[in-house]
Amino acid sequence: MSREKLEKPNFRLQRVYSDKSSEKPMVYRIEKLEGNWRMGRRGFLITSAVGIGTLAGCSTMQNFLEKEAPMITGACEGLVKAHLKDVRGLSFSPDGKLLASGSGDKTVKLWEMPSGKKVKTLGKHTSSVHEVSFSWDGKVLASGSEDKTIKLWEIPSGKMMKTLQGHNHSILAVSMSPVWPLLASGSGDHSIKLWEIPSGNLLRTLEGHTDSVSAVCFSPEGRLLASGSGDSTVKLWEIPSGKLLVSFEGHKSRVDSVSFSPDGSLLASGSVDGSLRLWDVPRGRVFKKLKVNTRFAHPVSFSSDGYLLASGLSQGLIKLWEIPSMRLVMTLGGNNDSVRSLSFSPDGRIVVSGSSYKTIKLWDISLGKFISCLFDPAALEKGKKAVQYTYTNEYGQVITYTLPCGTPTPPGAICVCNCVPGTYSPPRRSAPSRTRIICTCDKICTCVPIK
Amino acid sequence: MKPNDCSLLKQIFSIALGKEKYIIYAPLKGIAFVANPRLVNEIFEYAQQLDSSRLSSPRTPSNPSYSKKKFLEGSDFLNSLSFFQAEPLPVDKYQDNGTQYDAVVLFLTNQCNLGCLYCYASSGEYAAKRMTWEIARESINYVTEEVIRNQSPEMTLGFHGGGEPSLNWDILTRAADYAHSLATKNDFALKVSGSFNGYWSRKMLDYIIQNFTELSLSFDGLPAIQNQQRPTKNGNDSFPRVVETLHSLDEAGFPYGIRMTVTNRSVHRLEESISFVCEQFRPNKIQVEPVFMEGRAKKNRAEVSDLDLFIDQFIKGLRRAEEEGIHLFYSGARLDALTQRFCMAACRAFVVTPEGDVTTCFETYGRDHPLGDQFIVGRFRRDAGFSLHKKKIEDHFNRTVEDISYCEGCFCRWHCAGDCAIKTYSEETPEGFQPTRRCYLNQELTKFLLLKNIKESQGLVWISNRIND
Ligand code: SF4
Ligand code: SF4
Repeated sequence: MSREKLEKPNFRLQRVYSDKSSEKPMVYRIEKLEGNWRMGRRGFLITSAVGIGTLAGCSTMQNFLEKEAPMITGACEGLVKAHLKDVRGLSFSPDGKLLASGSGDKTVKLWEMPSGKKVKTLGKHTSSVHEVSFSWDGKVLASGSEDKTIKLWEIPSGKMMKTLQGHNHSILAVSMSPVWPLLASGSGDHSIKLWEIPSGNLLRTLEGHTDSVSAVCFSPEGRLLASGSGDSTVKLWEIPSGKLLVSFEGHKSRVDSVSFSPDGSLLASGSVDGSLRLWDVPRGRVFKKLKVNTRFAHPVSFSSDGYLLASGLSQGLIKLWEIPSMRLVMTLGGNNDSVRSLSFSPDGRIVVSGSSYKTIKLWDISLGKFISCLFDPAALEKGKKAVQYTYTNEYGQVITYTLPCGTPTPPGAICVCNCVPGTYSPPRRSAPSRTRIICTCDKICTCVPIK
Repeated sequence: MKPNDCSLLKQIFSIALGKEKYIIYAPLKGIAFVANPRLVNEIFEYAQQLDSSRLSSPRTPSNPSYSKKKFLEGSDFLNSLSFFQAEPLPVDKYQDNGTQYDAVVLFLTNQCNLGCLYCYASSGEYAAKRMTWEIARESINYVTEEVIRNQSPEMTLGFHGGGEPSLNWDILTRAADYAHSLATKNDFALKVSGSFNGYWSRKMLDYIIQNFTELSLSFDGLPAIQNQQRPTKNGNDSFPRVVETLHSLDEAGFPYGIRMTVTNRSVHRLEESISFVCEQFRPNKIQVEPVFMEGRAKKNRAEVSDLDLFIDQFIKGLRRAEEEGIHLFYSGARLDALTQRFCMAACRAFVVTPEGDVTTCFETYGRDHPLGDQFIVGRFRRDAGFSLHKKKIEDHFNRTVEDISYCEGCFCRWHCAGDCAIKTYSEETPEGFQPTRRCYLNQELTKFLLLKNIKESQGLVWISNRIND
């Protein structure tokens, strides 16, 4: 059993405060304690119980209500964007120190974690990037794009190593094996390809889907590959043989996301039919279904301890479900931007979400709070400027981060009054006006030109 | 009894069931019922009055008629049960006498023929260790002398450890035969038992049926789960052979219990596994435990994360086991026990590892155990026999729930009694105790058992047999 901070129990007899204290003293009779014996953290569901007064008449027990799952809100300030277009793919490096994001703006970006500082933009795709994935050792990043190619990037240098060609349609999904030097890609051409990494040799093409393959994911021990497709099925393939093992049917529309639980026994899938499903992998059948929304893709991601499943919804909401009960434990939300991509950090503490509004949000799950939005000054609209802040986090690390001019100074942060090069044009020496741009700091940092 | 110990407010607990309903539970009395807030408040006020009167005039008997306040009408049934009379705390016979060994438990080897994914001892990953005959014999001699000295009527010889004891077959049979001869010679009863995996040959089975009094067999139920969680060392299925053992024990009418370990991978099929065991075999008890996160369990991330699912499945399984007359239990929820200690190992068991180290706990398989330093309390030397560290033994012996402040307000405190010493051990707290997630299980399942008992007592008031004793 793991050790957590557990509240000291207090069941001592004490006075209780109740609006029913004017009632007569009563002992309840438990008439039935069967049927639904499922308990929540607040107590038993006694399906039927009648309170009888010690001498008085009868009254019926109310049903016990489950405590509502908390809602944590967090929104990005208007100009705080990570990309110029929607954020479609997110992947943490295995050590959790880097986050990669892929976007409709054709770029892949690398972010340092937990500071959220952008470290590199890898921008050589010629069309939208749909998915990114780190190799098991964190040394290679793969990105799959609408330009029909997969690119392999050397990490941390960000140097492009290879362009893999072979699919004759967009690459919608990529996944690196967590144990072997293998990459799987799913494409609009209905096929899945297995590639050797880093050589880029094509090993196998897996055929079986009858529509675009929009999601692929390796099982934790690397022996299985799950795929989700426009043909509404989820398929399991044996790796490395590529043999089709099972086809899970039940979704009514495109399956956009699949994720294995860390022990490999459960597979989650999210579909545009508005439902989530959990599949029992060893028994090859559905384990739980959940209707969450309509007509929207649901990115799904398991936490590293397998205790939580995060699913992204429209209206910018992320729901965290307890596994395997699928009880809602927390909702994260803010602005109305659809969640396009999701990922848990390897330590399970942080959830990152990428949205159709170009933003990437960070949530601390262990503390149940919104952390911040990632910001790349290069994603600023033309003519807008950015400034830097320093912030000392709870571990005493001084983190410098950048925000657009005009956004409120985040709590605890100090504006360093330095406009970020690249977001404004430094005055040329010969400029007659000798205008410089600085920022003034109060509650809001503002970049102002001065002479 | 210390004055404070007899405080009624410390002996009566109220457990919220949701809005407006509370189980009122007096564990030392063994009385429970579900009350509305008004009744809770009345009982509270009355108990408070009695406490303060008792403290101000200690000789005043805790007689309900003492109260000037007319206690709620219809409370006669509580008075007739002496509900408001404080009870002495449960103190065992060891408390005054100290450790009295009457059980010798031998860890014969750290090797195993299975490779369970959750093995707490990571069996097979450390250098092989086997107990020698000299250590086995001297351990039995040591406890026999104690049994004779204390005039105990019975001795227990047990086989346990971080490996499969039957893999040191020669020593196992010699030890059992030797203990039998000593028992006959010195005229005390002998129980021979142990924890095994049941992956045995026919010859072993016959010997055990002949020479043992009882057994505990680890078996996880459904074939898929047994094979997945408890494969052989070479990765093959263990189910067929273990099932043969179970059938043979049933045929011989041998009394045995099954110990079922539940992981994240099997929790959703726990009820099925229990049903399967109930249908196929005749154990007299089934112990179900969520996996303990040590050794390979940690490595394989086997922890049961959804404890509510465990509870749900356990409760369903309980119904099934009851239909078959099999006692199904989980160690942390036991209404029938009224005790100050979770386990008696530190009071009566002389537990010896393959290397001849003496420990106070069945789980400390040897020096490789992460808490070996803390739980190993003695050692065997060829020239000097056993030497024991008195102070360490006393420290373990003195771990009772009265001294664990965390448990003060817990209604399980006289049942769970601070839970298993090694699972809650912490060097970082002054009391050496740190709660685990098991507390949630202990409390929820105990709560369930209370409700079940109330339900079975015409739905109103459960009065345990203890009160009639
Ligand atoms: S302390 Fe825990 S593990 Fe050790 S013998 Fe007692 S109950 Fe068993
Ligand atoms: S607090 Fe936990 S360890 Fe203590 S008695 Fe209660 S359930 Fe047992």
